[in-house]
Amino acid sequence: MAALKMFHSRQFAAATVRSLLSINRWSEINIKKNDYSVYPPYYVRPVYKKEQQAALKGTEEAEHLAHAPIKAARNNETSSVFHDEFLRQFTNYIMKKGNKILARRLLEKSLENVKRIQLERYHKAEPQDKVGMELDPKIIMHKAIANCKPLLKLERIKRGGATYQVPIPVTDKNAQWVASKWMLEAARDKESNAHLPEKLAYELLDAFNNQNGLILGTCYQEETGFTQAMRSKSSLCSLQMELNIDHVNSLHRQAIVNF
Amino acid sequence: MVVTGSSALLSRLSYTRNVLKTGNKGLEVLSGSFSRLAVTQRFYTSNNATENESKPGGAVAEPEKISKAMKAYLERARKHDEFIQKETLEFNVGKRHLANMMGLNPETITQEDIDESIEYLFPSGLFDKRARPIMRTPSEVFPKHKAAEFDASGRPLHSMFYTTKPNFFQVLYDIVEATNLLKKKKLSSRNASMELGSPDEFNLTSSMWISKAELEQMLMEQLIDRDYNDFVAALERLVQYPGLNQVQDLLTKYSKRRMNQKLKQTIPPLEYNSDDRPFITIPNCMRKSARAEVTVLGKGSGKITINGQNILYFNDVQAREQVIFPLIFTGLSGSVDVVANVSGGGQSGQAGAIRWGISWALRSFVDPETVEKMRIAGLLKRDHRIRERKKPGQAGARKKFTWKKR
Repeated sequence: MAALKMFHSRQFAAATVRSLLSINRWSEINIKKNDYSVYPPYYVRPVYKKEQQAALKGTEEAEHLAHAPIKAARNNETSSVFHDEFLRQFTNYIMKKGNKILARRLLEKSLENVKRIQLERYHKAEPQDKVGMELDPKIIMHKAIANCKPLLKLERIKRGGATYQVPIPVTDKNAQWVASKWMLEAARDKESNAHLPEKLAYELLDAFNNQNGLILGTCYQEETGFTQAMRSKSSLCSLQMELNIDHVNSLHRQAIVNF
Repeated sequence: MVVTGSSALLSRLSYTRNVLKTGNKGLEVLSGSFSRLAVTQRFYTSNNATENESKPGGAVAEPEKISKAMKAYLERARKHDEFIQKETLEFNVGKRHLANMMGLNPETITQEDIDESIEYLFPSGLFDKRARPIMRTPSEVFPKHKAAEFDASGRPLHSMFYTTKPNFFQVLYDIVEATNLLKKKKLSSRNASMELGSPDEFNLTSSMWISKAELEQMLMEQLIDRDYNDFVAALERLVQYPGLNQVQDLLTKYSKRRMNQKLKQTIPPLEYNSDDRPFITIPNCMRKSARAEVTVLGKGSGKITINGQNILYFNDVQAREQVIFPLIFTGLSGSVDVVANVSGGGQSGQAGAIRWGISWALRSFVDPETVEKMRIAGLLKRDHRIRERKKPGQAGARKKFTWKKR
């Protein structure tokens, strides 16, 4: 009865494990990207908002989601109407040493201050100015960050032994991060005695109204970046093509055109 | 007993690939000589090639013309045949003994009976099922091998024999042929300015390419990762072209249907308590170190009880948000009650455990479409992520100490 056996062949086990793991057709190729994740690489991120799911209906993406295993939604993601993807991100930018409770409190306090200041201004304003005055701190926050978004960033490029500072267009995501970083740097400025919530509220409102140093700084940066571009060997044509993007803030464009 | 009868031999045999093929050209040539799948594996380091006498059977008419390679191969095949016959005999005898031992009918004993008996007689504490003792027919236990890839005079049958992976390269060749065909058609139709809007019958989203292991089994050849990547890349290049229904045979051969995730779940029916209220209790809700038991009751008013307190049990707003996430997602926040007992872990973990428990229970309260929506929202997946341990010799889980020369 020698056929009574134990399968202890390493290769057999390896082959079976491989066959169990390889579910997505991309998995075998991209397996290295996701090395440390507890999820196998074919797991996809959840779509946790109802509106987003409704928007996906009938698309190829929805079909893909129906067949793919989904990761668990993270503990700072919810389908609540009060949840905002950018605010979630910004909380993490504020956070120091993993203290998310404090970071969230600071952000909420900042938005509360924005609301208070704006309401005060609203009540003090002349009746004709009251029309169309933005009072929603969330919208003010989004607009303020959009106003601070840079168009270009300087990248060090080495050509023939010399390093050139070449301005290159930034992606929207990168611009958002840089704008948020500048906003926080301004809010954390040690010179004033105000705490972060007060300072951030003023910075946000100034940026919303296109009138603070941060905006001017952004413009200045872009001007100098443009100068660098002309001095360096980078092709001006491709840059000008990039500048024709629709969502470019008019102020930024004007700054560059004026130059 | 006989558990380790020839396990040493088995481990040697199974160290090579488990290869299987039915219609091989080698068999066609020498099909009369033997009636089984044969071998060209390197571990048969046979000195049989020098032997004068081989018993290939009656079909080979001119033994003096047989090459040494073929002779050796036939010898190996004969030995393998004998070995399998012996093993089969032993298996059948063993099966009868086992039936007598267990008080079963030796004539009608089935493989399920054998499995049950083995589990009873050799209880194993090993976790992996594949590591536990088994008793199967030798054909299932011992690997099958490729038939001869060369004819009686030693000439290879396949033009790609010297690549050592002829079947694999043949597959790549076929895929590229198909790609070129579609490419040509696309170009010609563009020249003729024809409409190419016909919907492809082959649905790519609901299918996926076969895995490396499956491809290896299909081809009876061991592949490296780069080979498999080439295979996938070739297929991806193929599916970029329109008119995939023309190469549907090829695509169905190398892809498999992806199971719709919706069909995988079994949802328990609602239970009813003494007040005739529907309820579901989910024990062992876990997240990080937190453990919870969550009961969701229907016909409620949205009351949440966590360890005897209301939702203010959590100081953290984010934790409160997480508890009500499944309720607001399904729109049942006003019509069900939640009772949760939770221990261990911190606020975030406890909230996560309760969130999962509520979601898992709500499946019984909502329609299948909503369950699918909850799955896509990531509510039904248990979050297995835990804190990663600190490593010795570095500052944290990943962070390294500052490098100093000395």
